[in-house]
Amino acid sequence: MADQWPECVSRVKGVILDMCGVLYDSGEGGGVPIEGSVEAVRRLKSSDLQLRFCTNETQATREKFVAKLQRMGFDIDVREVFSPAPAVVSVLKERCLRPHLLVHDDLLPEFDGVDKSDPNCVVIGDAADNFSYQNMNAAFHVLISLDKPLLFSMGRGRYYKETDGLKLDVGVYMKALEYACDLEAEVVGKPAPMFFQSVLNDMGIQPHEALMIGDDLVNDVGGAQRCGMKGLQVRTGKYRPSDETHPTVTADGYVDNLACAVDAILEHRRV
Amino acid sequence: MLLGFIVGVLNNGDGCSYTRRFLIVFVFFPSVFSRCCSPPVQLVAVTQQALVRQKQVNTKSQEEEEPNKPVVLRKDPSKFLLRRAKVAVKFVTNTTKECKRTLLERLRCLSFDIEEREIFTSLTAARNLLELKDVRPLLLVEDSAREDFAGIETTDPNAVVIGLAPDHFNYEMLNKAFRLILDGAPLIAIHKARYYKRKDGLALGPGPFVTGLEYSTDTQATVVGKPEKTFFLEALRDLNCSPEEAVMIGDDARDDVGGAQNTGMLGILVKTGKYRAGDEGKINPPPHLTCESFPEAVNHILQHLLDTK
Repeated sequence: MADQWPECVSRVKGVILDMCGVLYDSGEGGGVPIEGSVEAVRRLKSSDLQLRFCTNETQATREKFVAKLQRMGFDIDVREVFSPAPAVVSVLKERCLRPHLLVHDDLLPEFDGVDKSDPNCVVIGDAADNFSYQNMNAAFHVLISLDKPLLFSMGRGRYYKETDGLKLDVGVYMKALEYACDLEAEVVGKPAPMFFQSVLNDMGIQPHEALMIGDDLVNDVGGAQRCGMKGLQVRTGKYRPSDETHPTVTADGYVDNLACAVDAILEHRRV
Repeated sequence: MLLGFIVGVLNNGDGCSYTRRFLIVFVFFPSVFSRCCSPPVQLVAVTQQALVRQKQVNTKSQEEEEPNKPVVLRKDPSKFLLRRAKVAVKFVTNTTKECKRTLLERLRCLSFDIEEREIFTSLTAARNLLELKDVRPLLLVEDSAREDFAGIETTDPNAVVIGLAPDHFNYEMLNKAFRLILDGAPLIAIHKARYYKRKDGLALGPGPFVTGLEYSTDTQATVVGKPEKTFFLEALRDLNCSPEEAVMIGDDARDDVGGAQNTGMLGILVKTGKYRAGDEGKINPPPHLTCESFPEAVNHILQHLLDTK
């Protein structure tokens, strides 16, 4: 039963952590760390495992986002964090695309060096209050005016948890525009295989040597599993009990929180 | 004008002992009455302008409405063969913005004498469903449509109704709807149109937002407007008429004709309004009949579909 959690961790060389809902709960004032997570990250870092962070966070630039987590007490560096905005910027440059942006105001600096005139594609992120009818219509107009409408979505999450409750994520608005324009968006971020692969490349390990820990069953756990990685779901953040009986995705393991996951991982590696 | 005469003939006819061999269901938005030319049946000559304007009002804005010129309004009602043929008539529409009263008022301003009970809209269908399920809705509809939900309890909602409501399609309101649905509230969509035409160009309809909420909660909305079966069945209910005894005339191959035929009615497609060449080939089975115009459709019904015994 070497492939079962938690025995499988004996082969693991690297751990990838989702951030929101695993490390902290977001909300007013930036959010609060989940109990035990600050310490859990520290323990992983001092182990022999490689550690990366993989987020679909698009409400702030990567720099500001990491600074926020550092203020919460997390030992984390910008270079260890993978987020969709830098990834989409490199795709845009590679393919000579000029985006119309429907994103959070605080994310805009990530696109500073990108030509946004006469747009020939639309990029959406978790725009929160910027998801107004007017802004959705503007994005819709750009798309239907194009011969080949092209929509990039930074993630495809359904919802996430803030301290005052669950909030709609970018995937909902991606679906709305897909339906309106009869197209299929290109997802940059989790669960896109390319996104996970870039994290694995950075660690220099094979998929079966990596373990993903997240609170989003479909995008974190399911996405990682489709790449050949192991996926654990934490019962924090957006976790709902019904996730454990999901019709299509079954995690390799379910743990109460990141601290419990790290306990089990380190325990089994000592054996 | 057509509506006025039809009702007038009904009321002035030989009482209410009609044998309802056929229920004729018309769409008036989008209009089946536009571009009527030299109609074989007089009654239709009038309807053109009025109903074309209806369409404008519905899809664009109130200000665009021109003053009405009901030129043929006072023609001899006896010519209105459809009413004399003793069939029940109902007018069905997928409006999400306009309550029945406004609809009627406008028609009456145009000298139509039409009964409220002859109109069946997607808002009525939504209301019926709410009453059936005995739920309290969060109403994402424009203020102009709220009247059709008068008397329905809306405090502490445990259901969500979505129509075309740009004012409500903001992040905060959609989050509210999302949380209710996640807690088990049924999602009721008046219809799922992708977009509609406004003065300043195309604008997103309710469909994209319904689709987004469906995705967010992994649920399926109940759509109450055309082309849903339940819509047509509800429209027929108070007439004690089975779908097999009814004919639908419309300009939308999929939503009007296809929807009606899937319910068991006969569907007649008219080549006016939003009709585009080749539309009749887009549904399977094809329309029972495709006509140049509404009057031709009426003629066909009178000559071939009514039981004249």
